[in-house]
Amino acid sequence: MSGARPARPRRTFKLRRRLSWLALATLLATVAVVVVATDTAFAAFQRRELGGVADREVERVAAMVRSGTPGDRFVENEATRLQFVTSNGQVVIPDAGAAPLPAVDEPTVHRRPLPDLEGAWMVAQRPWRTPSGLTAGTIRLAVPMGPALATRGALRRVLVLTGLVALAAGVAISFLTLRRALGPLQGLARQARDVDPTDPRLVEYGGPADEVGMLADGLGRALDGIRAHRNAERERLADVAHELSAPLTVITNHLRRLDRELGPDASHAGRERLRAAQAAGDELLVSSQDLLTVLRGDLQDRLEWHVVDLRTLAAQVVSAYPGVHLDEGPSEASAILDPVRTRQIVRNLVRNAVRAAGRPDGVRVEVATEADGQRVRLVVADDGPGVTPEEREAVFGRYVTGGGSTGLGLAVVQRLVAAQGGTVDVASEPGEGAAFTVAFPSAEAMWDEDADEGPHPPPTTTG
Amino acid sequence: MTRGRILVVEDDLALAALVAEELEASGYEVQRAATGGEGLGEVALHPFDLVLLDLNLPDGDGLDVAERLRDDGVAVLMMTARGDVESRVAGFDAGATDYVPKPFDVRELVARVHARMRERVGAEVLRRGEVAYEVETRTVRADGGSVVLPPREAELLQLLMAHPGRVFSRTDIEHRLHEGELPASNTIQVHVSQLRRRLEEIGVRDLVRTVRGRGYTVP
Repeated sequence: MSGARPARPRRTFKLRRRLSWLALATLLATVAVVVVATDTAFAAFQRRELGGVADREVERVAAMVRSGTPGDRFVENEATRLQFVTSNGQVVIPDAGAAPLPAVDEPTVHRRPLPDLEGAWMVAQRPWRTPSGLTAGTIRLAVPMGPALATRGALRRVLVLTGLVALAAGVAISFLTLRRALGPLQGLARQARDVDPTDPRLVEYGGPADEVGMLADGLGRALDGIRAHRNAERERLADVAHELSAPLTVITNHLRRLDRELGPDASHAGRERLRAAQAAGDELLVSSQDLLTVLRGDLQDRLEWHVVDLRTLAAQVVSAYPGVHLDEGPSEASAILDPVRTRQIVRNLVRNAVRAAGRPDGVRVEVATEADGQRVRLVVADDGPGVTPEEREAVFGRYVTGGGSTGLGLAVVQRLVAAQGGTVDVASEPGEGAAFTVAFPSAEAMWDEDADEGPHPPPTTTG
Repeated sequence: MTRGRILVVEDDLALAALVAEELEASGYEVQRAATGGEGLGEVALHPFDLVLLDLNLPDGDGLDVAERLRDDGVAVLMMTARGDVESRVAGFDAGATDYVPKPFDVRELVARVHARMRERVGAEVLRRGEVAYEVETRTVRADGGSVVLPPREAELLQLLMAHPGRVFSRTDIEHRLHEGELPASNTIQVHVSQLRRRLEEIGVRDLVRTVRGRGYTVP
């Protein structure tokens, strides 16, 4: 007996997670590059602009000095600082002895170019030429960067904010896109994982006709092919079982007639041999019927309902197994059943029990009506090795058996019992035998007392 | 005197021989035919009470043969390996009144034939406990008196009493009593309740019982 299949590890859908991270990283990098590049470019632009302003301003002052036509004011902007520095580095204007602005070749940004100046300043200088053409030193000009930096800060804030919004939008869009694109794939993966090996098919694919659609299509077609092939094989096997049953019917019935006609003067050994042949034929016939029941997958034969006394039926079956003990119980145990199918049930249970016990007198069949009269019960108990709790789950599975043979019997029992609205259970302790209990609603429970009420449509019994 | 004449149409000759032998042993007169055509020929020549018809015949579908037989007014019991519901329904439509699924135990087949003949052959009395039903006069007799049933109710009671213990669904009964023509869905129900009322008048209760979700029976 094979153990239970190991539990499948739970699969997380890693592809989607990986793609999500990738999309997020790409978006973040893009936004960061755009923000930094814009900011850097803007800063360079500002420096160039301000450098130009400072340069033009100092040139204007230098030109005024050179031409000897100083105006009222050299500088139009209060915030700027202007210095005239002699060749030996002394500031002469505005205050002699003050600290000089740093010397620059071209407009340059300095932080705190003078002790009393906070922040960054753009410093530019020009040679200080007197009207007479003498070079007296340099004229230096510092323009505050503060306003420009404030603008740049504002721009940065706008950039970062826009970037964040773009990032959020991007994340949302890529999340939705991924879900749309991968959702069908996930569904398909789940279906592929959960394919029922006994009936392989895809339930549905609702996604678009993209690559995933092609995959679903291909997978579906492959599974359909497998199923069709399997069904064809089952059908072929069922046909064979059918073909076998016709001659078997002839053989067993002729044997039975022969037995009947032998008369009392036949030799004991001859009769025994005849009965053995008859029993073997019956067995084969039952097996072919079991095989058909299992192979056809459903009860294609519509059940034919009769008022059946389980005691009579059990007695009929048990009579074919001399040695099996039958406890018929005190009262009639009638139910609405298909007698042919129910005989098949009881025969399979008894056969199974005899096999498990290894001898017929280890088997006990008991028929009873439950105390409330609502259910009838048939118990087939053996004193064989019993089944373990793990085996109990599988005992009704196909090909599982207590003692060799085809093992179709119990699977057939379960199917036939269910089709007739009954239940079957097994109680067992290892080493202490097993007891199979089949229960059906009693005929008493099935009578419709409201006599003028017609029967409801019968339940489908072909599933 | 034989219990009735039966034609067995079956291409499996061994099976046909077996069935014929068993039926003869039970007191029937049996003819055999291996093909549908042969069967129809036999029916044209001799009267039969019942035709046992295989659904799969070498010269065509048994359903066609069943249809022809129905048109000739012959009762048909089908033997079929095709167990599916569709072909059964088709069979009922084609005129079969009952089915024996293959493979069968010949004893079961013979029992089925007995029941079917009880249903057919007139001048017979069907009994269930204290109730006796005379087929020919459509009369039910019991301790409380007797009553003559109208034709439809008589057919219904005859069907149920000919197969004691068997549960007939409403559809089964419709197919058997109306031979294809479909009555209003509650007709059977009406017949059953009228039949019960008549039976109660002569003190017979619970002869015809309703099985929940399954149909009617004379237990």
